[in-house]
Amino acid sequence: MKRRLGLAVLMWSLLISSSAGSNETPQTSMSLDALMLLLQQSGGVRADFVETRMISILAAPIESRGTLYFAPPDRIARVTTQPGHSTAVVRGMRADVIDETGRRSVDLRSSDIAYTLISNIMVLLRGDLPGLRERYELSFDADGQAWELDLDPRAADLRAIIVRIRVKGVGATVTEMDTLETNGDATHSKFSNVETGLDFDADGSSGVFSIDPPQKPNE
Amino acid sequence: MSDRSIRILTLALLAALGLYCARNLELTGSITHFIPAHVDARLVQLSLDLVDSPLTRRMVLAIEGGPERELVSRELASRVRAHPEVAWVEEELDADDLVAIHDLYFDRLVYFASEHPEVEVPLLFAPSALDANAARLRERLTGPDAMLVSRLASRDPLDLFGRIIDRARAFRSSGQIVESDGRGWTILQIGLRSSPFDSARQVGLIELVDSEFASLSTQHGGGVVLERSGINLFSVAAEKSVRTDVNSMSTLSTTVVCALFLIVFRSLRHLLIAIVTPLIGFLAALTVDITRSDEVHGITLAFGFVLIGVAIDYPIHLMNHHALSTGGRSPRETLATIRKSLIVSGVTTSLAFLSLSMSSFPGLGEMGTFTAIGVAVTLVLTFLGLPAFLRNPVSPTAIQLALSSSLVRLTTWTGQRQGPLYASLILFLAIAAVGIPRLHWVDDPSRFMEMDAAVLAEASRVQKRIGEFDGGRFVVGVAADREAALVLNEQIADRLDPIVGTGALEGIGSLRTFLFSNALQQRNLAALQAEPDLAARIDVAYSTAGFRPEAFVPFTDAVRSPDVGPLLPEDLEDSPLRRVLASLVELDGDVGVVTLLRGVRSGTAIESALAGLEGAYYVDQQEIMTGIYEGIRRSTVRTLLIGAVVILALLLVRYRSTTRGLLAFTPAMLGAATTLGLFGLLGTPVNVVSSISLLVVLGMGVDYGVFAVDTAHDDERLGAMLSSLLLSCLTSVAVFGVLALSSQPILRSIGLTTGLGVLLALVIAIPVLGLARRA
Repeated sequence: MKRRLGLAVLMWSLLISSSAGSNETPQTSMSLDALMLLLQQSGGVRADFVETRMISILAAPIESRGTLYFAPPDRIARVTTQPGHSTAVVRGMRADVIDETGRRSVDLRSSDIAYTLISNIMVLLRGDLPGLRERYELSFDADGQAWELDLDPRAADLRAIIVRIRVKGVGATVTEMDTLETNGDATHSKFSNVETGLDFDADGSSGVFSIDPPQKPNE
Repeated sequence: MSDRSIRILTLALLAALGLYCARNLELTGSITHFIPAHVDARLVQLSLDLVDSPLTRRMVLAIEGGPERELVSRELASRVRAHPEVAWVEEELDADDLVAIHDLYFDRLVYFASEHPEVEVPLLFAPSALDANAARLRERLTGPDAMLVSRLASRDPLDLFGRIIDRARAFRSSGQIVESDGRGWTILQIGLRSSPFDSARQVGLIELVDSEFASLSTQHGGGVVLERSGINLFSVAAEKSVRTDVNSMSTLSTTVVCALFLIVFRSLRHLLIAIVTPLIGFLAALTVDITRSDEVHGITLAFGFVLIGVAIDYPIHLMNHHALSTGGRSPRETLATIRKSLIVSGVTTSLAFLSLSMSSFPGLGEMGTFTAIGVAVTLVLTFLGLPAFLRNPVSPTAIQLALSSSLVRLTTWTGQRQGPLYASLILFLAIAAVGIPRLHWVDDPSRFMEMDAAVLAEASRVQKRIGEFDGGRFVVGVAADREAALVLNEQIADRLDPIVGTGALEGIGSLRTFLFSNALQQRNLAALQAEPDLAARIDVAYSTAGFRPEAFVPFTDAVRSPDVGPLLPEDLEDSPLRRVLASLVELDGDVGVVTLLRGVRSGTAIESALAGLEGAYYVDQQEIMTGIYEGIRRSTVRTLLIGAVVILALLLVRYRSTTRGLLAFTPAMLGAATTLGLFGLLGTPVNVVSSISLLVVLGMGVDYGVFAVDTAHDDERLGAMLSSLLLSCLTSVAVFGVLALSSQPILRSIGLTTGLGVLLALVIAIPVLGLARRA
């Protein structure tokens, strides 16, 4: 179990803030099926985030800010701008991180649990309800346009790290996400300036999903 | 036994041997065949062992391109992994590697704080260092891997684990090399199950890599390029080259010999008869070689074809003498007239080749035994079988008659001019005397086999790109047991570290990266435990940075009382890091630890750095091998002189006359000396193989002296003898000349030395004959 723990938390930490969604507002009370349908239709997403971590070794919570990008079906980028600069990118089966200490890469195929975590996130952002149910016990509650989705991991490997993920939203917009870890640490993320329906490939901004410098023209 | 029965038996023997060889022949092109078999020094043995060890059993692939190169690389790794020759595929440090490193080291961080704990541990706990570490840790808790950092930090506030990971990354050459324009290289390493010199096994893997890459490149738009490096690539290229040489040389030599026969005998039948006995000799030698060893070296086979050109001399002598004989002699009667000359000739030639079998080079030994057996079998068959194939009587061709009479006239003319006879011999002596002191000996064995230039350039680019360690130069520390060897290994690293980057050495690859000696691990723990008020000092520094008091108690507890013991080599053996233990080798009951070197520019600086460190040795394989080959070359020259004395003694006994014995010996000895003299005057480099080839010149050249002296006063046989010698010489020169065209320097040396030597021996035989007729 210890073997897999470190990688699992690494992978999860890459993606913990990576939920955002459409800012379309439904006219009726939200159902889980309807929410998933809206997420399916959201296309590419860009959102600013503020992340607050409550970590047991710290005397006070610690905050970071940045921007999150998601391009369905399997690309996520998390760009942190405060307090330090870092970028984490997941493309298919590969996760890359670059920060002031250097660059690190992980082939997700080499770790079952990392693959499970990543695929779970992809499943959520794609609005793949059957896939989500396969991995989590779901608990959905809506009050008018506001909704709350609890994800309780089914797999023992994941349960060893994550107690629960709670995603909150209004209509089709994901506004907050809370993650509670087994060691008592918790992370709260708030999303703002959410843009959806983006096509990063078409508008030439797909470079956000690469930590390599952009290629020169004519090469 | 009737002639018909003899013919049937001979042809049946030919068919049986041919069938056996065709079914059982397996070729090799390994250069290790040409490394001396008997070396005394233990380090030289280690050097030889490392030529084929886990350190060399690998292949590096560099895939150049844009971001798509990573997909191509991953898919290629996946496809080649299933090949039976692939032991492992190493990409960049992956999740499994990180987990393995975590499992091995995280609970042992207190043993791996520093390579110099007495100096560095106090520095790590200086107030300013603790403040900086605390600030850095806090910043990392806002990064993408904060969840991992937060879980590890309470037991590793100084990020000692990060230092271990960094060292592991620096040690490995696999991974990504990114350039500023986004293009770059993805490096893969493939571990081989078999020797890289086993070209038969390697060729399949290389073809698979190439074909799968071509397919993946097309699939991803064709914008990626593959470059490869590995000993197996050279091995396969060398075997291909040797095979090409074997095919072309055998074809050419056969064509030349056939053409000579058709011109002189005007008979295809004579040609076939002449070839039968040396062909059986060749197949008999090959059969012996196959039964003695699993594989026959390609160079031995190529040299073996030369045997046909040499051994065909005996049928030539018999057929030419028989055609030019008078009085309607039968073939067996003709044979009786040259029996003694043939036997002396065959025995000396066989002895000369047999001397090769005593060489310290396994490859040359194989060649010598092969040819000696072939010559002996051919000689025996010439006596027992060949007469049964010849008609009785037979008429000489016009060319034979013309050759015979012309050569008799020439020798008669020269024999009447004593001055020019002596002058010509003095000229040859002068060439030898002036040229031999100018000889340029080349003893570097790496120049014996030709490396494929394209493969060499490609491999050099890959090695330069990844900062590959030098395969031929390393430092080894030898001690009584593993612990002592690891301690010595650390001392070696400490001695070499200061000269890295000074221009003498670019870098080292030390086992110390992954494995400290037990002593060093205990010193680390002791240094940490010696830090006063450790917990309080950590609390002060980290509280200021916002950490909760006593957050790092797990670390201070581990310092006070570690959960596990130090890391042992056995722990690595069961982990994915076991490959690093290839540097730890058994040496006759002792243990050696190899430190790999990168970019060695001054062996002297390395030796100076290691001065006084008992058990530490700088090993330069090329330098060692050059020294060994120089020794063998000198020994061979001494053997040549001893062989010459033995042959001279044999001739003196045979002729019971000092003059005749010396004359019979002159073409051989002077031919060999003049050959060396010419090489010296022309600046042609000579090597150990040239010196061994001179033994062949000695053996074949003495034939000319023997026949010249034997027929000097026999006018009836003189013409036949001279034309036979000319035909034999032309056959030999043509065949050895073909060897001089080989792409392999080792064969070229044999061809040049032997071809030129035999030709000179025949030329020298003419004045010798003149002097013999006057004696």
